[in-house]
Amino acid sequence: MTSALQRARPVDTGGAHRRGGRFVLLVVILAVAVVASTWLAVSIGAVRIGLPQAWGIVADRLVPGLVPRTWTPVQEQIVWEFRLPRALLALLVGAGLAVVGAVLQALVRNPLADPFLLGISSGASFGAVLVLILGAGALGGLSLSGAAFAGSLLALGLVYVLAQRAGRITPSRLVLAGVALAYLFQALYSFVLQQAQSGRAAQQVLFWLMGSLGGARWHMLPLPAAVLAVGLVYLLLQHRQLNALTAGEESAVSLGVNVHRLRLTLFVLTSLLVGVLVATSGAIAFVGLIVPHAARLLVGADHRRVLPVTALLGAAFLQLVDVAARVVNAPQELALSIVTALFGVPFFLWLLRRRSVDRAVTVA
Amino acid sequence: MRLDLHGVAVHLDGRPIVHEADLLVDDGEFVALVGPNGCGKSTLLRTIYRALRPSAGLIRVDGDDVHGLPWRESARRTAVVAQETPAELDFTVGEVVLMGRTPYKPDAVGDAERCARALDRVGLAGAADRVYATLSGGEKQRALVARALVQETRLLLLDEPTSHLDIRHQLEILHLVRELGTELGLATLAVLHDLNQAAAFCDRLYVMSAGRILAGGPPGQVLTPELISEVYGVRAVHRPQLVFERLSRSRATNQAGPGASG
Amino acid sequence: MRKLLALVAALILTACGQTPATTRQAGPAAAPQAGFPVTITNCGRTLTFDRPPAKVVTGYHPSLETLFALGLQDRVAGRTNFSESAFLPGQKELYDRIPEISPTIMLPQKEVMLAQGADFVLDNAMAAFDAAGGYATVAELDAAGSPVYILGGWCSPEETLEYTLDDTLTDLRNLGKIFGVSDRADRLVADLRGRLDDVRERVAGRPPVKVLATDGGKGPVNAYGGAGITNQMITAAGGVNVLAGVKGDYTEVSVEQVSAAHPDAILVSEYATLRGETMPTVRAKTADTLAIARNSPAAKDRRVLAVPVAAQHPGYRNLLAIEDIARFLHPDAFTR
Repeated sequence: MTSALQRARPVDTGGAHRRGGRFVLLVVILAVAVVASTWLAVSIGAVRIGLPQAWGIVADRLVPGLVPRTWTPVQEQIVWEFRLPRALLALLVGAGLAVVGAVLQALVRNPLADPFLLGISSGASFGAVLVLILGAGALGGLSLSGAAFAGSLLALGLVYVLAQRAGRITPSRLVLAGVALAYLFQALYSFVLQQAQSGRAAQQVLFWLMGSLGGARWHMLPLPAAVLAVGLVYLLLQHRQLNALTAGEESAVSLGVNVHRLRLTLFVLTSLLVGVLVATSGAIAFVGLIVPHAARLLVGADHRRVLPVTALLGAAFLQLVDVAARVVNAPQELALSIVTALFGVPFFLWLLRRRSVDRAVTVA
Repeated sequence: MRLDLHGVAVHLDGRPIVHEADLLVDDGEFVALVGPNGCGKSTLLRTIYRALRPSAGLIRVDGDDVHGLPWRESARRTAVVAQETPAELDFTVGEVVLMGRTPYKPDAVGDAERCARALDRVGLAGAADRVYATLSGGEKQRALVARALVQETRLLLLDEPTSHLDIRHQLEILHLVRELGTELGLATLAVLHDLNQAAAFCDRLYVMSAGRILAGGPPGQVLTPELISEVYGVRAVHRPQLVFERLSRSRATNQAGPGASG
Repeated sequence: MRKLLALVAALILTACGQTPATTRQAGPAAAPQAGFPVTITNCGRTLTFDRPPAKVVTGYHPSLETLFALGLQDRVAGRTNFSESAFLPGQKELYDRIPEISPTIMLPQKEVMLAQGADFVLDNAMAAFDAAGGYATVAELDAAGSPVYILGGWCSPEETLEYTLDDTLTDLRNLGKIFGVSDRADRLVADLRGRLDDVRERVAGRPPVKVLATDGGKGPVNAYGGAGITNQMITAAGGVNVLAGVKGDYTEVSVEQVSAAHPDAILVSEYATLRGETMPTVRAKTADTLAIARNSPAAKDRRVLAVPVAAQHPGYRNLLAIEDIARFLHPDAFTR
């Protein structure tokens, strides 16, 4: 329906185009970073394998017989069964945790929100600890990943039941219920840990809690990939609703957003995604908190831009962090949460300083 | 688009805030809802734009019960200029205005044009790339009006649009809203706290007190000294006083200046 | 009322009277022994014994095994629980006769521990005396008249890495002195040394078998590096630790490293994480490791040995285990 507005004289929309160009450039740069970091992740590792061999293995798997075989079965196993799935998982987990962080920050309208705020990952940790301490048979034969995911589902259900009032959830109740449950699960798994008689078992648990992609195999990829893909598509389609939600509950309502249903959907989606990711990699700190802020510093607050940039930035970041975790102290591995903070904080501080100069200048 | 309230009551936390409100706003009218603090006027407004549910009564926009409409549909009929602003996250003015298109399917070219025209109409042409949070109070309000404009509704609600603004910007906003209402044939309902301004700009007033609408009608009819002293507990006295007007009606003085802040 | 008070007072006095009686029992009956007082140092502390301890409390099971090997079972008044793996031959009966003061492998909590009134505490790691865990500390036990002896010099994480097999032999001699059974201790040391020498001779000249010692894990893998007791065991048994270049004892290594290490044989740690339930864990750990080291000779021949983790702690069993591992690595050296 045309309005009086559209019948008025034409107006220059030049500013929007300038911004758009910069966004596209940024996306291209980040995509290149993702590809480059993945190339690095497959090429280097605890065991030295020459580039021709490493990439020959990949090529040979994709197109058998393309390249003459100059590698050993062990090298093939390392590159194809360990490094490549691990690199892909790093992309999935990095993008996934970062996107969850961005969405949660909008959902609870709090810039300090991160994937572990709502107690979901503590539930996952609890499931994992049970299996690590009680043994494989403990939870009906569930694997470590299965137990972690089951724990996250349990936490999801409990947080919802506690936070809802007449079937609706509000940001403050969600945060309070989530934090309370996080503490509860932490207490539970600390209890189990204390019962553990072996220092070795405790050490394994600690490592899992700090995050590692070391267990990545091909069969672990499809589920997180599917959930992330579906989630991202949904979120991008809903980007306007997400923007409106950030503007405030009443503004969102006045803009036609079904706030309660959106909140519930976002809560379930992020919880599932966190559960699926944490089940594969343990609890990797920092990515979900800081990467969305970095993305916003680069492209502003509109979710149509924030979401893709967050995903790409998170993927590239975690990839580089994982390479470092593998290589710095090889053949020993560093827990990822240590490295994410060590690498991420200086980068973020640099970005923060750059931005405070940029934004003060207005564009006329 | 006609707004029609009949017997609307609103409870918050079990306590009655609004009792049995009847209210009507027609196309092209600029109606004010006034009353002392705590009389329930904001609550009533929030119930109209569906932030709250009424515990009784019927709210109709263009003949349909607004609380039975799909959320998108009610947003296509009613736009709101309220106090809430995007908090920490730094949207640009353009992005804030574009939010007004949320109830519609995205249309890249058309939406860009609508936003540009709306910004121009409220006197913020060229401010699209500025960060919303850096705007002055008056500019922020005008940006929110622009957002309401791109929402392309026939009913406009305003919740105390002049609070926190200095006198010049208060007048700018009120003039802008009245002009837009006339240009676009909008039905406009505004909660206002300044009786003189309400009387000067609005076609009709409703006066609320303790959750009830005590009177409704043209300002001269409604704002009697008796009613004012009953509702506000103050005496209304005619005295020579300063009346404020904008310096110039040209758009040039309404342009957003670089680095302006209030 | 007066009668009640008197009754209560009498009861209290009798109870108080009991404790001195029991400790006094050892006193007047035993004559001052030759060789006493004995002074030894352990973990930077000097311990002095005027007489052999008669009321010993042992911590993790290897400490009890060591006392059994010295024939000192009568002196042990309290022990921890052991249900992780099989007992050494003939030791189960001895174990059953001793009162159990803790249902786990760890010593009981502080109050219970102090209430034991022990005159000697034997364990093989400092972790059992950590105040943060609610345990009685070494200082507290010392002050209560229960001096603590830590086997193997595992007084701190750094010191566990510096352990050598000789440390256990030193411990045996020290214990012999403390308990006044130096002749038994010397015989035992000679026997164990003889066994170690025998193993050394048998495996000498044979190419060392590449061994991966692991505790399972799908990635990263928990494994034993180039420092500490397990590395020593592997070397003494005629093997070479594929992770000898890794700093540290129990650590996490990447799956790449494990795959590339190409071990000939694999040792998997066997222990209980909670109570009982060891077998499924060992099976699962073995399966994980074999999958990762799929291309190795160890996987192809399924050459895997489960090592009770009790044998990976300083003590009598540790030295016996070296022979078991040597037989596993070089079976043909043990045919005669």
